[in-house]
Amino acid sequence: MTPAIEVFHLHKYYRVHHKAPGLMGSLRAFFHRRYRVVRAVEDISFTIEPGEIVGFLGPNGAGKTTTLKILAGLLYPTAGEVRVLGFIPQRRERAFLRQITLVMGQKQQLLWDLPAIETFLLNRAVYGIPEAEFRRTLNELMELLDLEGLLTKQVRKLSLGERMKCELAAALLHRPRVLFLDEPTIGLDVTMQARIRDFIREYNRRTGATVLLTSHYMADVAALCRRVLVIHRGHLLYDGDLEALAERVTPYRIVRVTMAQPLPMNALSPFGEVLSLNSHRAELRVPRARTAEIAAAMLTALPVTDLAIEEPPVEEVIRRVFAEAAQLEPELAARWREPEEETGLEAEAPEWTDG
Amino acid sequence: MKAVAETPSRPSRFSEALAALGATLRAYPTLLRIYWARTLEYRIQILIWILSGAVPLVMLAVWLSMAREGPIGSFDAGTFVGYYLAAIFLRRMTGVWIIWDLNRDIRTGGLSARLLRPLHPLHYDLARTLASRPLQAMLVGPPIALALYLYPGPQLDLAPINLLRVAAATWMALLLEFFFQYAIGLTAFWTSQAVAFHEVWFFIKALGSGYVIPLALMPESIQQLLRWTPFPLVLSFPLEMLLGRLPPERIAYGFIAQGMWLALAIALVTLLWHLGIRRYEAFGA
Repeated sequence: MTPAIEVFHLHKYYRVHHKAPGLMGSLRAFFHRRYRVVRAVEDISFTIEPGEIVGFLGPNGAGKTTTLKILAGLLYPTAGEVRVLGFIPQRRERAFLRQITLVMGQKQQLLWDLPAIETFLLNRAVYGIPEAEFRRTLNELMELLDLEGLLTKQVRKLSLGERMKCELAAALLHRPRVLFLDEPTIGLDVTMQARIRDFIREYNRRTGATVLLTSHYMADVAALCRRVLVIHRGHLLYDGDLEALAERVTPYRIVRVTMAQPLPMNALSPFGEVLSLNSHRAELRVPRARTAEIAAAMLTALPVTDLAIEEPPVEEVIRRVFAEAAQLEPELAARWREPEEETGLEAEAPEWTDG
Repeated sequence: MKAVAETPSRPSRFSEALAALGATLRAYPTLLRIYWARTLEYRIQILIWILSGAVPLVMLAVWLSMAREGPIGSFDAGTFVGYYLAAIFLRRMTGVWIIWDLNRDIRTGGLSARLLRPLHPLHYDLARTLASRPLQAMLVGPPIALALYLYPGPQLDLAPINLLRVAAATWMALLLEFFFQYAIGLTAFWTSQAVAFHEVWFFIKALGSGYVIPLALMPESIQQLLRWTPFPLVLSFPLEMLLGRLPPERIAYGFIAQGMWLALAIALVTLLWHLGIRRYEAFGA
């Protein structure tokens, strides 16, 4: 089967105008512009099979959104090759655009002053969706996203969560085969986040669409994606199973115990690193390989009423990946130096497209 | 059983272009209807249209006081009244206000949502521009017509064939304004000064199109110079035709010039778009 998404040695560099602060800085920049190169994406390669849901993880500025924008055809790559459903995205052919969508949590396509249904009708016309198919998809989306009563309200009068649901619906009316979701749950409350998450899973199940999503909420990623891509400072650090990643970078587990009576710290510390102790509840970090053995020992030695073994939180896993990356690759960290030192990069930037 | 192709078969460039054109045309009725609805949402803007459109009345008052002594050049008082009142109406039919939105969309990433859809982003702006015309005509047309009817002097050539010609020239003028303004707006891919460029363009156009002073009253040398520019074609041409002041050969020349300038403007937009879109950085999200 042809992969839905193929990325080969993708690079994206931005040239940004650099200005010192203050009046003199502004004046200097007026006469002499200094530019520096920001390497948003550097040599990233991966492929995604049809029907996969893949999580794209990384801190702010890691290059996630830039990659999504290139995949959706909004940006031209500086170097490297990208194929989505066999198309070269930046050509933005109709047949390509009709099969993809990009949802950005902070950007809206909905017409602000009109009810959302008007944007839906506009999309029906622009995408050339036949009337019957439009009705069917709209009904399905209304049910999945619970849009009853929202479509005829002016968009600017909707709450953030309501608007996000309408955005998602507008982005999916043409039944795209590939979904790029950039922070689809940003700013939403926990209930709404869960709702959007369920919806994405259900859409994937019903249509077999390929989904690549970024999120700051690890719960989104943990719930939806078996496979994750971890990107940091433009580099792909990890591509694979989320669970395997947890095992690799966090060689420990969390043991949570409830005891019949409060115990002092020194009664617990022989079993592992005590993370918290709150009268008769405690949390310990134990080596992954010895988890079972330690748990058994605790059950015999302590007045335990309840014991649970947990994986470390995904946030912790990701934080560790980034910390590890910074240690292992000093040259990677060096690329993120102060701008003054970086001006020389302009000359060495390969295949800089400037026009 | 029919095998389903993994990747859709690629149509030829020509059939692709034809399909795109068909799809674009089919989208227009909806685009126009939606932007018409949006126009009606902006009630304050409608009021501003009416007020800002009244500038020629000030010029008219100045000329009328001067024309009290007798005709100025080929213009008597009645001609001035006809000229400026018709100018108010034609300006409402040809004025385009897209540069600010386009500039903002390019610089702050607002263009992204439109780029994702299988329709060139230009069409949203064109549809928005066209959709506001009926309302402007309804609001400004009747008072202008009434004033022209009540004032005894003005001579308009209201022969059906001439009205048809004026409508065609006005339509072309609107497209000229649109594509030139779009081209200027596209410079936002390179510079933060697109709006400043437009200010310069706007100022020259105010003078060169006959909006402030009828071109017929300008020195011959300036009139000669302006003939090499598109400016007279966006207002003076349909306006003087409406007043019945253009000989047939100038009418023919005007239409040909409009066609050529429009072709040039569209070519310019195509080129700037093609070069500029590579630089688009989709900021803001």
